[in-house]
Amino acid sequence: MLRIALKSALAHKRRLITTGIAIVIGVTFMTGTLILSDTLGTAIDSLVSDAYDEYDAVIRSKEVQTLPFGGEIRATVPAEIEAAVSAVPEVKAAAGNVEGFAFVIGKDGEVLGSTGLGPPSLAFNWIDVPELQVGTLSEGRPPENDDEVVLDFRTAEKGGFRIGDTVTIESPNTGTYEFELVGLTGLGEAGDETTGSTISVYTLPTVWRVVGQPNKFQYISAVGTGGASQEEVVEAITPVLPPDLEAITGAAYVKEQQELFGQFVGLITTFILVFGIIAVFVGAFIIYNSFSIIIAQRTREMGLLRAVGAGRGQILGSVVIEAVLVGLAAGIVGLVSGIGIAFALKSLMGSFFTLPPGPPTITPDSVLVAILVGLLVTVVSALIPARRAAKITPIAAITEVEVDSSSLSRGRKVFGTALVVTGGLSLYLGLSDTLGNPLTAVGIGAACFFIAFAVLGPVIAAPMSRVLGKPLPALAGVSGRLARENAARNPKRTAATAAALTIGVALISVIAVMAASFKADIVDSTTNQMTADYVVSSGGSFFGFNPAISEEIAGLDSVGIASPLRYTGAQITTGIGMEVPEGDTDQPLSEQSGEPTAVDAPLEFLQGIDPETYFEVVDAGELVGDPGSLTDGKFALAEARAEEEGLEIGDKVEFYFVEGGRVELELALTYSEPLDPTTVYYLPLSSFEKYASPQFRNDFALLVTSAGGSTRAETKADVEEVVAVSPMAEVKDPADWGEEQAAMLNGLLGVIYLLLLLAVGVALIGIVNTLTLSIFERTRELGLLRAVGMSRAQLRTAVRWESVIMAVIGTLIGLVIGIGLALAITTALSLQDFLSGPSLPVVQLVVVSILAGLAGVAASIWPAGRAARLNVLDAIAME
Amino acid sequence: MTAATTAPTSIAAQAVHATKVYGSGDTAVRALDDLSAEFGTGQYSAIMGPSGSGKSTLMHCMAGLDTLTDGQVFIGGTDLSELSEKELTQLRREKVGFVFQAFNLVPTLDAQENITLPMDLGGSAYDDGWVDTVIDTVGLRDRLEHRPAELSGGQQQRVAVARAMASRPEIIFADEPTGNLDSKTGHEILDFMRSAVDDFGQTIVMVTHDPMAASYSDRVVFLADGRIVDEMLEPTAERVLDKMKQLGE
Repeated sequence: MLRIALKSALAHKRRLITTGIAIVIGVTFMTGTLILSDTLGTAIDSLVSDAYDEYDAVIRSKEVQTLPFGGEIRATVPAEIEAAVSAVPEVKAAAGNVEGFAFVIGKDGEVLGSTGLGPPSLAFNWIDVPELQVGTLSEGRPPENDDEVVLDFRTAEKGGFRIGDTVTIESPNTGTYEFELVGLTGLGEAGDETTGSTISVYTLPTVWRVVGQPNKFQYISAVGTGGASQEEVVEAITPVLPPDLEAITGAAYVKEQQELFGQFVGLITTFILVFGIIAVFVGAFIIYNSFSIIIAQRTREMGLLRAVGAGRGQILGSVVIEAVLVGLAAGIVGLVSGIGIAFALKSLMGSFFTLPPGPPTITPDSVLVAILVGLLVTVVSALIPARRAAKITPIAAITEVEVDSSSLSRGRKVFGTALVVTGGLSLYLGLSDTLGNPLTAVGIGAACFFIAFAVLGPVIAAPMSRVLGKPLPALAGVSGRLARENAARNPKRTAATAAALTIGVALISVIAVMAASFKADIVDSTTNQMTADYVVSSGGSFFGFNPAISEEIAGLDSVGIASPLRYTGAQITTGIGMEVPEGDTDQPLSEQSGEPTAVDAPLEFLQGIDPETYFEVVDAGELVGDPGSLTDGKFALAEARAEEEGLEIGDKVEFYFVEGGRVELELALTYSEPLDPTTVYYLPLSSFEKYASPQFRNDFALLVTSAGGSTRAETKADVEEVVAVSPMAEVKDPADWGEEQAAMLNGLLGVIYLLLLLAVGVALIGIVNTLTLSIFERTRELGLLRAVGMSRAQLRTAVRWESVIMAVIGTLIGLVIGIGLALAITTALSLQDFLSGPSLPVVQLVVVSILAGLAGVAASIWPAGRAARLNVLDAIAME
Repeated sequence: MTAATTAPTSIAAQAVHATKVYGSGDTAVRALDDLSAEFGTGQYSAIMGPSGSGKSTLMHCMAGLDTLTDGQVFIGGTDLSELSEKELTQLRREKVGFVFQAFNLVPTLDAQENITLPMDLGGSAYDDGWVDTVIDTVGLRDRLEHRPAELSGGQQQRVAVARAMASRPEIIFADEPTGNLDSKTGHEILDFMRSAVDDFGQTIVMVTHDPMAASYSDRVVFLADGRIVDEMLEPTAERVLDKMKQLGE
């Protein structure tokens, strides 16, 4: 039986190859991602350890706050500690390290490097101790005067700066500076490696001035005297430190930094991997469908095997063996092409930061994942068709059976309908706000609809083909009619083929509708709630602009109100005990080191406002309490949230700020309409200044109104003149500002769409596969058509329209499910006050539909060509 | 059967020194060997011969489904060897009708659509009156909306004959049209084809190995080893059978 299976697989190798491609794509993507992640991990580990490998000890604050997407914020260390640490006998030298944000402005006036999610722009101080220097000077000399700067070589290259040039630096906290470039730096022995970050290095007094945090260090690094081990150095330092500081070994610090970077890489990897998994899932549909068709076509052959004595188990086994062969091959090919993709991506990434030379890192895990995923998905997907094969009776060998025409059972229709009803009911109950959490009900409803779609797909495929194909005879004559009928003749096949596309399209439309709703919400709230004439905005970056700009604008004669907005985060720790690990000497130092002092209380976003002016330029709905009472030590909260938390005016809440520590603030004001539903805690600027970490003390937006005697245009001109000095700020109309805020989602959305296209691509291969197999099955019919005068072009047209019908069915169902689901989710979210309501991106959805139709055309090219090339005589003579 | 005695006035199809070789070298097979034949307009011809005699090859080449290695084939006055693939398709659509042994119909189209298929493919307007006449002749009026799967084997062949006649082709090629039918249904089909010739002046060339079927024709051409070995006018089943025995089938 093994021999028969092998021979059969070889005889149908062409079909199996196209079948396997569907899985290969998913596996390629998954292994490519894994390998890339390992490669990045290795590279980052070595860059990090290169940078810090001569540290023997690191002294830093115990106060730390973990950020939601990896990374952490730590409180600073007072400058005088440096001298105390240097005085420890075991310490050969110690140096304070300043790490702040500063942007390098290119010659075109634009920021070099990312102001968003990309690698950060960091400002450091030059450290004269060779062991403690981060990076190596590759050219020029260190900064010695207040007007000198050293840049990383990659940034200098990008900006076209040479030593001696003047470089403009913009600090989000303190403003714009000009420096003379005196040297270039980089990581690695020769200073020619980089993590992609933009680095500027100054003398210590200068960097303090630039980042606006005088006499503070991010941490202090120390190198020990010859004989002392890292542990001994740490033990010697610890007694001289105040209780809120800690010392850890250099090795522990390196490991921690590697882990922090690793978390970020891991996050990206997981994100991409999800889409690889979706692609594999879509591939599973195609494997299932292809095997179903192949087995249906081989019914006679299987019947013959049964007639000559093959058992059911043996038939089942032979199909499974074929699936194993396809799966193994797909796994191996996927692994190889995954390595290829990783190579390509590696060279792409190499242009951003330094990667070790040589091949990507291929771990046994990646290999195992590739092979196992390929094998398991293929075999599991082929199991149902294989069971069907095993049920073929010997009589099938001699009776004429029409291929794949099994009728659709009543049970299917009943079950499917029941699911639709259940799903609908669940959605209705959820959205009519009669159940506790609408999202749960929506989830149940969505699951019901997805399963119902799988069950009912074959039932609706034929009628849908006929309805969609209605205009085809008029459009394309006989070819159109044949296309319509061919799409309708095997409903199960058409449904399964379309289903693969449905998944991708449904996901795309869910994302599109949700994104549009969120964007519309942002735009709505900014246009409806803001009464300001203009907004000075930080241009959609993750950083604000220098507050001095705001002050200058506030002082303009033509400006009435100028109300700044700032953002930071804090944890609400009311009633939660805080453990501060005291130097527990029983524990190994390495374990102690990474211990954060913050509790796991959720991080809340805080908006810093000027209570005197904010409520005059923003309509926050109904206010309870007096804005004037929102003084230092008080806060405001959205009414709905206050109710949820059981808070009333006058109640106290404890906030934990990294730099400011634990602070009790009093609720002085509630409002009904937040500007941004994710940020509902408002802090007066007086408190914000006190407690927020220095890097957050910059303005994200300044809401401006004209003064009584000035026209809007005059005000705008005046404000623009002030803003011109900073590349970080620009003047916008409130509506445009909303658009800009909304556009911050676009980058992420672009990536998601791109990755979902992968699933759509796999689905297209499914269409190619189904068409190819169907054409093979219809050889004789096609021969007849050609004999009685159908031209090649007409035949191609017929195949093309059949493909388009399948693609459109998949797309339409996908759109219905996706839009329906998104509407349900957004409505549920609006019930919870996160959104004002759903919004449909009509243009985008129309584009998706048109693209899907065109994709159907593309998918038909190869099968149509094959059909057209068919030798008429062979087709007719075929028995 | 008056037509049978009338000598053909013009030639509907003609093969001139037709040679068809399959393969090459030692394994080369001469399916047609310098064969020349004429099929008169309005004549019902049958081609007979043992298996491998080249009768199907001759028909495929004459119908523009296959090309000759050497020699020429004419339909009407057209030399098929000079036609492009597109022109051949058009010729099959407009000037040639086909009736095959089985799988004659497109399963997704109903009887009516199958009958008008060649004309629909051409996109040309067609003579409704004639199509009606053909449909009535083969007696399919009440079956027009049915798909092939809902028709009996005989009904399917009748649809095939109707399709072949519907476009008023210059010539109909029939390849074992009764091969898959029981004898009663077979006779029905043969009667239709006979009446197409007698009543409408249709030219038919039929490949068969059934002497009974051949007896419906005006003239039987006997093939062996790719050549014409004999010819018989006004054949009867007995005489054809005798001849076939003589040829060693």
